[in-house]
Amino acid sequence: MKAKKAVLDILKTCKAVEERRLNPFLIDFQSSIKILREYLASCKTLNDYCLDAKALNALSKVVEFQNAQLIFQSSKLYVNPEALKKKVYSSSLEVLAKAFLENWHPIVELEQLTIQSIINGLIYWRKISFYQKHKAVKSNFEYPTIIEEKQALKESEKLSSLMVKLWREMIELTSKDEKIDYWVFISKNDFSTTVKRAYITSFLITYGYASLITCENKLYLIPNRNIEKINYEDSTVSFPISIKKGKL
Amino acid sequence: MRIQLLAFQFQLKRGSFKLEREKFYSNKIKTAVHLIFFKRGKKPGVKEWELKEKLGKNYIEVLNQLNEFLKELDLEVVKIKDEFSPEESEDRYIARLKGSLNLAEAKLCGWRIDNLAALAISLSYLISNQGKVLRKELEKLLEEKIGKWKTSSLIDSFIKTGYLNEDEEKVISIGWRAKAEVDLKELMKNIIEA
Repeated sequence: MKAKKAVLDILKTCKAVEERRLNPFLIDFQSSIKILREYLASCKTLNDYCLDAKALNALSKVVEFQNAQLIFQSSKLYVNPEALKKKVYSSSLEVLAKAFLENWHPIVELEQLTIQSIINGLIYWRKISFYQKHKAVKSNFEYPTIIEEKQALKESEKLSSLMVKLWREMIELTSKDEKIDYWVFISKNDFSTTVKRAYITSFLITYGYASLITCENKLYLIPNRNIEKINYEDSTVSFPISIKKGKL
Repeated sequence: MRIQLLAFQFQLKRGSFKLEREKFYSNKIKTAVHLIFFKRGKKPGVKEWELKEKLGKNYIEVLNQLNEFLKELDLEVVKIKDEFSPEESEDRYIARLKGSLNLAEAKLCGWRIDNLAALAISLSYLISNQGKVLRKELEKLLEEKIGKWKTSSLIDSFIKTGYLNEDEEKVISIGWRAKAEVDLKELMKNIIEA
């Protein structure tokens, strides 16, 4: 029983090496082989023999990893991962982007129309109502201004801080009930703030920091407190916000 | 006089043969361009067996001639290995940029500086770890540079476009597109020297 546990431990360690969680050179081969030898002597059933063979196979894979690592370390490509991390932390995004661009040869590919894509396009355009119908609503249209990349990065940081603020607010509001009505959450006194809140909330949903669910024909927001993996929705959903007062 | 006439006839035949040969190759080059440049499946380019079937056994010569034309346009046709099939006939021929883009041109293609930098970091970190790394580790490194919000979605978009691969165990590896488009050895050199 004790020997079996030791063999299972060997298998677990070998799997960690295979999954790149452990350095292959940390495994003590002599003691592992000794354990397997002892276990083989006590094997009685077919399952025991299979486990022994599995462990031996896993150990041979570790040797293969050791070999690959030695070959890699002697090649030109080898750079210590920690040294690379330091380099990445100390370099600016622009420098890294330029280093990449010097060695990037993007593939040239031409898209072409197919019968299916034309049909899809037609279906899409037929669904859209005419512009004339919406013309009654007057808007103060302004051309978008082109902003510099550095300014864009600053804007992105500003957006990040707003997202954090709104996420915390959502967590506070849902401390008792777990979920909050979407329209209650985004609606504020004036229209522009409501649109801004809806805009930032859409980012929270896209990045997986909140989930949007429908329950009895109502929309609810649930904040993801312990976020690990972002789950993307297969399709995007849009909710129009009425310009007319009292229709929020 | 008769000898002169025969010689003249021979010259004529030789000339017409040369013209026919040139026409034959120009048609083959056109077919090669159609096959390589237009996207037909999920992946760009054309498989080696398809080229052989459409252009004949001299397809390498046709591709060499095509490369001569493309050189003027700063483009080239290269062969990339299929990562899932060891058979040579499954290898692909793709057309790619021979030189490189500058920052302004890359922006015009829709790439942001931080996205390019994130791809550079991801690829170099993967290379330094022998081509495979846990997603969590990569996310941790990228979060430091481009922020927590963007990291995961950016990794997902790199996976979708083929620059990175992710398996069931959440291990990230270098994708087919990165192998086809990026000179990985030089990238490592440039990043270390940056």
